[in-house]
Amino acid sequence: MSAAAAGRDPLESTRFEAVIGLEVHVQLLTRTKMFCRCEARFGTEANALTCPVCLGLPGSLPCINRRAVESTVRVGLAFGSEIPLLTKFDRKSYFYPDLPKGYQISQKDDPICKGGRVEFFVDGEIRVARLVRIHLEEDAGKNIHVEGRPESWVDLNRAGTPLMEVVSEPDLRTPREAGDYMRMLRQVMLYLGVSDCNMEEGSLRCDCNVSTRLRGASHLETRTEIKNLNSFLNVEKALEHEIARQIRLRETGREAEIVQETRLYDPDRGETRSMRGKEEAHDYRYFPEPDLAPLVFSPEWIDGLRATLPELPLVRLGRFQEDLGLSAYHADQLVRDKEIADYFERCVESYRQPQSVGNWVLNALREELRSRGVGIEDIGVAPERFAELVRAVDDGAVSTQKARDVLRAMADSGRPAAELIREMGVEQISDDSFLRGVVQDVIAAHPGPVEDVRRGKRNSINFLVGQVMRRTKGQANPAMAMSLIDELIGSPPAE
Amino acid sequence: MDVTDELVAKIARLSRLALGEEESAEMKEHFRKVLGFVSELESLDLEGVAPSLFALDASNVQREDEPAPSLPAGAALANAPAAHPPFFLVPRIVGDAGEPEMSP
Repeated sequence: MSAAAAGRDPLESTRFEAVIGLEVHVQLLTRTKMFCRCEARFGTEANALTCPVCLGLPGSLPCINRRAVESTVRVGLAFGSEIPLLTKFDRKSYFYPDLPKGYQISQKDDPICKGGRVEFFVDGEIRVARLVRIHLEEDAGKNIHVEGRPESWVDLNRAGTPLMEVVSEPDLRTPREAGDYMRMLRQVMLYLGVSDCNMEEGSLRCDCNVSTRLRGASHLETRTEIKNLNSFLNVEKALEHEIARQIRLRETGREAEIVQETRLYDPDRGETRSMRGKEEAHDYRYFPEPDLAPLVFSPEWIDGLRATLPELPLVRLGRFQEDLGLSAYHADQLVRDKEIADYFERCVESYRQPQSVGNWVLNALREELRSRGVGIEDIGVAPERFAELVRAVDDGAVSTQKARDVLRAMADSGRPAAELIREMGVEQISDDSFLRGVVQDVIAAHPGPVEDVRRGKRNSINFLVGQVMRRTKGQANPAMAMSLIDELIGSPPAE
Repeated sequence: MDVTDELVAKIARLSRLALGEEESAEMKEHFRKVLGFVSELESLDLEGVAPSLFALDASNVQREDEPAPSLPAGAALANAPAAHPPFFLVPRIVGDAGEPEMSP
C-alpha cells in the first residue's frame, strides 16, 4: 500500500509539505441547459441538442435556468456558504472551437456562494477545507480528434450545460486528503440530488492547484495547475507525481524551474507534463453579461431552499453511531449511498436491531444488488420484508447460509420471507427435543471422535456437528447442535 | 487610458483579427474616440450612487427547467463553413501526440 493510500503524508520523511487547492466542476442534473431549453443529456447524436442560443447564433438571447440557480444555492447552504442577496453573470472571453460564442457565461465578482467549509474524513479523522466560492457557469462542447485527419470535429450537445464550480482554499496537504475531499463533495451532491456525479460521463471534473514549501512555512510558493482530472484515483496519482517532481527540483537546487503553468497528467506514463507553448497568457476580459439581468434573492427565498436540505452524510453518520450504536466503519459504509442508508433506516423502523440489519444490508443485500446489476429501488424487496428476513435469521428460523438463497427468491418473486422459508424447506431446526435425539444418535454412531472431544480435541466436535447437519439435511441450527453435543458428552463448553 | 500600438495589437490578437497597418491606425483612432467619450462620465459626481450592473431596470429574469425542441436535424450545421455531419469541422487544434483536449 502506498503512503498516500494509507492516508499518511507521503512527504512525512522530507523537509517539505504540499499545499493543494481544488477547483471541482460539477455538471448539474437539470432537464435543460443553463441558458436555453435544449435538453441537457448525454449520449445522443452529435449536435442534435442545439439551438440558436447554445450555438451562439447572432440575435439569440440567453435565459437563466431557475433550477440550476436553486441547486447551486442549496449546495452553498449545505456547505455553510454565505449566499449574497445579489448575484450576476459575467462574460469570460477566449477562443476555442468548443465555445461557439467566443465567450463563456460565468461569474466573476458576484458568485452565488461565498465562503463555506467542507468537512470530510481521512481514515476516520475529521478534516476541514474552507471554500473560496461556488459559482455557476455553462459548460463547453466537445472537440474530437481523429487520428491522421487534418481537422477536428466539434459536438456542441454539451455546450451550455449547467456547470457548478466549487473552489477550495489551499487547505489540503496530501493527495489522499484531496481525494477524500472530492469524495465528500460527491456524496453531498448525491444527497442533495443536484448532480448524478457520473464520473465516466465527466459530470465531476477537477483542476488541482499545487505548490510545495518547507514544512511549517506560512507563505505560498509558486503553484502549478493540473487540469481536467476525472477520477478520484487520477486526482491522487497526478498530485503524487506532481508533488514528487517539485520536491526533486527543490532538493537539487532547481526550484527556479517550478513555474506557474498548466500541466497535464498522463496516467500511462505516470507523470505530469507542461502545456507550455500551447498556451497564451490568458486575458479573459471579464465584464458583466449585458444579456442577463442580475439575480436578487430574498432571505425568505433562501430560507425556503434551506428547508429542502436533507440530512447530510456527516450528520447522519453521527446519528447512526450515537442513536443506533453502529461502529464508525459500518455507519460510514451505510451513509455513503443515500438510497442504501434510506433503505437501512426503513428496515430498522420495522425491526430495531441496527447491528444485524446493517450487516445484512451491507453484505447479502449489496451482493445481491451487485450480482443483479440493479439499484436498491429495483431489487423488488421492500425494506419491511427484508427486515423480516433478518429477524428470521436472528431468531434461528433460517440459517445465515440459507437466508441468502431466500433473499434471492424474495427478489425473484416479491414474496415474503416466512412463506419462502417454509416452501423452500430451509427452516432451521432449533427444536431442542428433536435435535437432542439426532445428537444422541450421532454420539452413539461415532465413539472415536466423541472420545477425542472428551480429551479436549476441539476439532473433532466440528466433525460431530457435521454429522448432525447431514442427518438433518443441513437444517439443524449448528450453534445449538454444538452446545447439545457438549452437553451430552459432558465436555467443557467451547470458548 | 493611453491607446498605444501595442494595445491595439493585443486586442486584435485576442480577437483573432489580422489587422493591416492602416487598419490598426484606424482602430487606434476609434479606440481613442470611444474611450474619450466614456471618460466624460468621469466628470460626474457619483458620490453615493451604487454601480449599476445592468442597463435595464430588471432582475430575476429566469425560466422554468422545461425542455423545448432543439433545431431539426441538419439545421445546426446549415450555416457551418465546414461540416462532416453530424459534426462541425474546424482546423486541427492539437498536435499529433494525442494530447487530451484542453479548454482554459
